[in-house]
Amino acid sequence: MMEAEERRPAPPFDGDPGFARLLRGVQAWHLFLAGIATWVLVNVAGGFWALGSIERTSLGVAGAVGLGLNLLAVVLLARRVRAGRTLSFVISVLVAIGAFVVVFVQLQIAEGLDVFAGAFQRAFPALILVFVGVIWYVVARRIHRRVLPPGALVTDEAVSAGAVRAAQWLMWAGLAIIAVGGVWWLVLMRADRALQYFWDAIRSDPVAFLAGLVVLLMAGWALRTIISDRSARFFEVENAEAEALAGWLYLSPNLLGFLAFFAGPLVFSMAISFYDWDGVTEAVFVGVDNYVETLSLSVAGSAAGLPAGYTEIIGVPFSDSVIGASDPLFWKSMANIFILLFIAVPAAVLSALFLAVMINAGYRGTKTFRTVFFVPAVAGVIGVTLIWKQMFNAAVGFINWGITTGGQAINTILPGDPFPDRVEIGWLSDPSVALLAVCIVFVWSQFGFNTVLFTAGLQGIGRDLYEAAELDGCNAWQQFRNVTVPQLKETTFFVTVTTVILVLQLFDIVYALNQPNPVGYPDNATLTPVVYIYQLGFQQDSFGQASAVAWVLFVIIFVFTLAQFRMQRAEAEVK
Amino acid sequence: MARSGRPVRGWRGQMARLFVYFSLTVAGLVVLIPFVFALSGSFKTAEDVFTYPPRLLPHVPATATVNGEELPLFTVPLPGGGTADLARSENGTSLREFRKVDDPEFVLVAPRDQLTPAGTVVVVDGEDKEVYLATVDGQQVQVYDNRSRIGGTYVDPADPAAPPVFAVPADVTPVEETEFQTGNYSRVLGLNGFDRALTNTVLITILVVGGQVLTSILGGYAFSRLRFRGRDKLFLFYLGSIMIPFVVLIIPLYRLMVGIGWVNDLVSLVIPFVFTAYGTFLMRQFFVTIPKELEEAAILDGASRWTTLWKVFVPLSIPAIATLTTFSFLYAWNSFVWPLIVIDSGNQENSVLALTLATLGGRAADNPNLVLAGVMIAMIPPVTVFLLAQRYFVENVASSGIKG
Repeated sequence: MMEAEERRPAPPFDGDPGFARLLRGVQAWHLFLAGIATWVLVNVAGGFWALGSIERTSLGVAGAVGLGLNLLAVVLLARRVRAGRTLSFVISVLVAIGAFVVVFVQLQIAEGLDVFAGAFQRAFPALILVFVGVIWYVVARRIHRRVLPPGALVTDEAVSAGAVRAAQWLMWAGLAIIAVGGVWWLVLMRADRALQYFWDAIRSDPVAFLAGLVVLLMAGWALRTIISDRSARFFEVENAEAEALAGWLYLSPNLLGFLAFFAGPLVFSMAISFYDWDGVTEAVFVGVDNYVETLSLSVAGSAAGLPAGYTEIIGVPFSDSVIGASDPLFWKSMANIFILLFIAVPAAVLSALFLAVMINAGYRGTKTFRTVFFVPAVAGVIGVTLIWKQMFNAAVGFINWGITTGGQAINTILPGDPFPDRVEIGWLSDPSVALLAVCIVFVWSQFGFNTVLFTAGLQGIGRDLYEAAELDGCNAWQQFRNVTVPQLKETTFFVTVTTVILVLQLFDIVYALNQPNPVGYPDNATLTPVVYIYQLGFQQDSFGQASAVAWVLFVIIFVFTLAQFRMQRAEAEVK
Repeated sequence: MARSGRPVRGWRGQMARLFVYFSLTVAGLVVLIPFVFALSGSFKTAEDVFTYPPRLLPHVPATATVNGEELPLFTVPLPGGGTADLARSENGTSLREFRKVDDPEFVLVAPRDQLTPAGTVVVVDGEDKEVYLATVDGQQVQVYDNRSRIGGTYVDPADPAAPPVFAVPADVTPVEETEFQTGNYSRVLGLNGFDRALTNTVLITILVVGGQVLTSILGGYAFSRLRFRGRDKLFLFYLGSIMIPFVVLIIPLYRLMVGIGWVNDLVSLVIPFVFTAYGTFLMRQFFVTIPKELEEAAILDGASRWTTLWKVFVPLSIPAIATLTTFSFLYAWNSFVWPLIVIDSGNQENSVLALTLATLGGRAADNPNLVLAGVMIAMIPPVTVFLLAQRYFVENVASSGIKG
């Protein structure tokens, strides 16, 4: 990378006195930070701040480290040591982040977003106008390109000057709409109120805000100076080192979010699964008790013989014995998800395989179906679930009406009229079919996604394989059986695992179908593991227990993920 | 892929083609019928949604204006046989049921004072019944007064002065006409802060999509083009994070929001989601494919990394950015679990569409028509975006197998 530049002989370094002056600014900046660190140290040591022992220690250590590192940076920069540049960079990045947080908090941006959302709603019509203007402009520009292709001139014979002028007018009109909409938007948004808001926010603690802002600007300037090309030449930095600094800098916004909102919570989640914690009182360390509570099973000769705290969940077949669990609801959710896996996964995978083969048969226009099948997956789970909820209505729903009508049609053919005059299945209230309703909605919204994956897999199978099979006299079924199925093994495995993982995490459909009844309605017939975690964590405030169940679920999901990963790697090795 | 259709040979070929189109059409109908149902329901009145058997077109009871009054129309049986669509001018009229003396199957319903008493009595089932004279089809017939009924008075809206017709409710059927309740769409906007939820969702989607695209471009650039120690290990962590189910993170993230004080604030729906491992991965994979010569040319021209990224990489990566934008749009617009946890259900100021819809759906018994209108409003933007960007989207799903 950038070898061309690396290989060029570096021009003899002339000292760059201009940059040396800039560098003195950076040194001053580190001295300034060292001063702040000293001030913190003095206050901590002198006991001028009321602090707890932990805060005292940590602030003291932070101050000392800050002072030491900044002084070191000043010295190293003065000696033109490369490490000094890196050190200065790291310090400035950390200080910039801290200062940014201070400014963010002092401007009350988090609370301000709620206020902004109110203004945003008031100004929405104007925004729509701007949107219309943008569409208008884009279309007009396309027309303009059409009547005046790039490279053509208005004076060209093939170009109609009138059409070009008209297209230009259209573009101007689009811009005018955007401008009018924009101004209207600003008026409706009441920009003055926004300024007032920030002014009030700043006024509440102007010193903190200004300090944060100034430090942020200074850190920004120091960073810019220290990573500039002039600085790299000044320190005779190798390109690789410059690249590494830039790499961390570019990655930092992403990485910070990754640490704060993914890695940190992940560790925290693991930790709280070992605590008994309701979020209010102090957490009590209970070791693996949460896991034991969740997973414990016990067998006894009869329900009465189960140890205290255990509830019978199932009888042992061909005997009087029963199995009891300390957390019967967890096992209920497992049983439910097991049933779902056995119905929903084959349905969502096999239907998709069949339809993908149909699409891939190569008849005209069949690709359009792929798009149509995908629509349920993008339309929003809550929306489609609410549609199905209405269709599942026991008394007047489409589904029961369909079954009734179909049944009546069969009655006219079959003797004895086996179907009732009116079917009223309580899809959502009858525990014996509620899970099936969940299943139907899931399969309906998932099979289009799987179909797309299968069509991609099918396109990867060489035409020649089919041609060879055809020459061998294979009919369509034999071709499917002997070419498609073995060739599609990896895709099928991938699709199945993806679907299994989605089923294991099922939540939205169940929640929306059951509203406003308690989750798991009816009678916990639709209780899935994630619904159970939601119930434990957010309705019973049992955060430790909920985290433990979440990790148990994670292990189950991970087994599938790992299997898929292995498969993909094996596949890659074959290729 | 643009094959011009498979050649069709012989009747077997014809059958095969028929079978393919038939199965695809059936599956297509299975997908579309719920949407058609929702569209039709969103234009109905609440009573109409609860009508059995369900109908495709929205119906409302028809009315007619009689003497300046809006009256409901009914199909009423006429005494002389046949029916007519008449307006009900009075409900709850006290009527008598008369039957023909020589043909008890013939029934006539009318107020008693409409008929002339004949002064005689017949015995029916051991009871004395008074006989009246009635005019049916211009002929005078003898009828006996069987029992009391409550019914309605119906007049001809074209000729209100004509003698009214009387009938009991069991004999009349309301006349209905097709009418689309377009007002449902504006009514649902005023329900439970639905309008605010809509604009909130737009705002949050803009912020999340913008943030995700920005951080992914920067992160993807670092992972693909800038070498530093530990980069590839870190990238593996990013990849691994895609496999962690969100459910493991819900509780600690919620506690984090409690700690920062962002619970119930819109900011909690934005900031944690502007960083995406998936987007970073997507951009990185695309940047890797961009030839180094282009970048080197820019650097030789004296461009900085920042300039190179925005002037060389980004313009070349429009397809990848379009894919990422579509993915994050659909994700942000449809996300439900996190808002459910972090925003109180009673908080109408800071709610989002999916959440408000779920709450409304819980009370669908009151106004399913409005819920369906709300569902349509919530579905139109993501479906439109999907249809416009489906080329990027479907192809990318096919190659990466990730659904956002």
